[in-house]
Amino acid sequence: MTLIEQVGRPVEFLLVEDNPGDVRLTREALKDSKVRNNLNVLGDGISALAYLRRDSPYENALRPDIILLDLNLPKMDGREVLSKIKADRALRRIPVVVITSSEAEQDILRTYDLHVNCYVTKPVDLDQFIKVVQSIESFWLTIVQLPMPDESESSSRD
Amino acid sequence: MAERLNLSGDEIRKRKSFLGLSGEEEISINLLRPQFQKTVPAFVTLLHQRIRSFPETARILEKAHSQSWLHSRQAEYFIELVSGPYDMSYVHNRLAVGISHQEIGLGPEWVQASFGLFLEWACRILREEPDSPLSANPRLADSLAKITLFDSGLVMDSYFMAENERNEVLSRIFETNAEVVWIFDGKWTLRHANKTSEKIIGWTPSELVGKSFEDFLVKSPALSDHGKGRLAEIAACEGHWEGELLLTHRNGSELAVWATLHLLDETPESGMILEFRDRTAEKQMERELLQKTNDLLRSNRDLEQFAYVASHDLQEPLRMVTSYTQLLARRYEGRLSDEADEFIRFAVDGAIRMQALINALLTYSRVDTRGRPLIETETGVALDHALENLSFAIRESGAEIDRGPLPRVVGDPVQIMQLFQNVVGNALKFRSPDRPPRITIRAEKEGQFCLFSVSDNGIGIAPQYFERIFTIFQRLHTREEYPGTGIGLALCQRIVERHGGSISVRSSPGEGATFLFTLKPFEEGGATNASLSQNVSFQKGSKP
Repeated sequence: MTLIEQVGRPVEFLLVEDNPGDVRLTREALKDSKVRNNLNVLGDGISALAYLRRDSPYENALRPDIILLDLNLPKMDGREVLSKIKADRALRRIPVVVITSSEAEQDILRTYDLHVNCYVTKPVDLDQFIKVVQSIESFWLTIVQLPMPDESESSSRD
Repeated sequence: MAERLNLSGDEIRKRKSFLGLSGEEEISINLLRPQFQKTVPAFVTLLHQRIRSFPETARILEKAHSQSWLHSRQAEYFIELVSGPYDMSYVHNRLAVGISHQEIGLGPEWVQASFGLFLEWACRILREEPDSPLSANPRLADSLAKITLFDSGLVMDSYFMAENERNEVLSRIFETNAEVVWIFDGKWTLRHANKTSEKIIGWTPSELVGKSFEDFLVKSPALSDHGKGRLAEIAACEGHWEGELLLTHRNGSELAVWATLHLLDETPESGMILEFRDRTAEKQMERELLQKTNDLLRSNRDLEQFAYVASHDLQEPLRMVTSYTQLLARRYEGRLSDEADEFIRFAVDGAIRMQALINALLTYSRVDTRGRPLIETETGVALDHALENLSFAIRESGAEIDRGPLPRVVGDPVQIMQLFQNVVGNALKFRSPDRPPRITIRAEKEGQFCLFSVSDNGIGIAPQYFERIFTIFQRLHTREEYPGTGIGLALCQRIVERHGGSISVRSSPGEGATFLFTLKPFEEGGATNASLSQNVSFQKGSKP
């Protein structure tokens, strides 16, 4: 079952991004989406992890269906966030899309070594950017088969 | 010859007076001549018999071209002995005889003995002969002895001349050798030092002789504290020792030298020869080279760092400018004034161009840092890919591409493709408005290189711009005429240079242009090949 078919609620996005400009652009891109969605934004790696683990003050956070992660973040950078997510049994099945402005080969290699689900470079052109965000959304939400969150994963929800 | 031996007229006079040979005697000795003419041939026969009785001299005599000629020549020689005057021309003549004896290999000891035999024989004959001039003039025997000694002295001189000359050459080589040469006895005491010593270590040869090696040796970096004994041991074992030494200069400073130690004979006890040259200048150069290499590495790292900064930190704010001016245009175009629309268009255009420039700079800086190893590359295949990428422009312009056979080169296939794509792309872009582009691509062997040429029938380039076109971001046309960042040919130059070749252009305005570049051919089993496979395996090994 694709994600859209699984959930009867708005799709939960977690965007970890410190640049308000990019946050706004992502919001603009998702606004036109056919899929009902809920965009949660966190500006640094530490709060992103706290959100995912429902540490204070995020006790009531919803488990995201997809994570959009920037690499260069204050406090804890995206690579470390990624490695922590992928090392956490409760979180590692959530698809993580790294979306960054870096085209550096060492970033791409390292990120895949940390088991990212996919790596996307932010296009400069606005139309392209919107198209990329919408492609991510449609690919991960309507095309890809994802596992149902299992007991152990959902148990951490309460 | 006499000059080389320092045999001046004075010297000859001195020798004669030393022997007590007077001018009268020189004349009276001629009285013996008639007698000698009769009897000397018999003496020569006697002499040859004596010579033949010793195997080593017998061999020399047998080797002579003509026995009878030798016989008569030697008889003449002894007769001439009593045919004064004994002037310079006589001296020259006698020296020549000495040299010819030396040349046939008869040693001086044998010649000396022959003179002895001659004197003994001559005295006996002169005493025994009834009509001997000796009976009238008994002093002739003394005179003959003096003349014979004078003559043998000359012959000996000629013998030692060659030896002296050889020694002189050797000593000149020793003194003027660019390296310091020190000869030690078995206890490491200096016995000989050449003049170069003063130039290099500050001490004159005479000051050095008698000193111990200990007085100069600071240490031998290669041997740590094993000391000089170890050097001699190694020299004895391996025939010689070679390495770096630290010595003390006369002015107290330390002197790094490159030295070689040989033994004079089988064991160190018989003495040693140490040769060395100053390495201070060399070391200075090594340090400078290392410094430059480090600078270069650092500057390469800086460039790479810059590339990263450009790719990330610089793009980030630029992306904001681009995206939001675009968003502005999308939301408000047509809703504000015409002027506002124009402003927005300029802003969007500027941001997009800046992005293109940053990307171009990145591509340029990555030619070296992102280059793949140089391997066997089919340039024909690289051109296929380039033409495929340009297929739209080729179709659109109706271009005709004429390509000859293309060789295999040593290269980075991706960069060779980029090279063709840029050069052919330029030919399409700068086409003449009057005619469809016709592009000719050829390659030929030129010396150690393959020379590639890409010719077009386009608008051409004036000669004063030939250099400028290869400079990054230099453009000859406005953006309205021909769009572009001005990176293409700078990139081509950087790629060709990374491959060890060069690129140039021939053209005149309106006549089209020919771009020429060289690449190294790939040779099966060649030296390049071996270094290539090393390169490739190194790359493989270093991959994560």
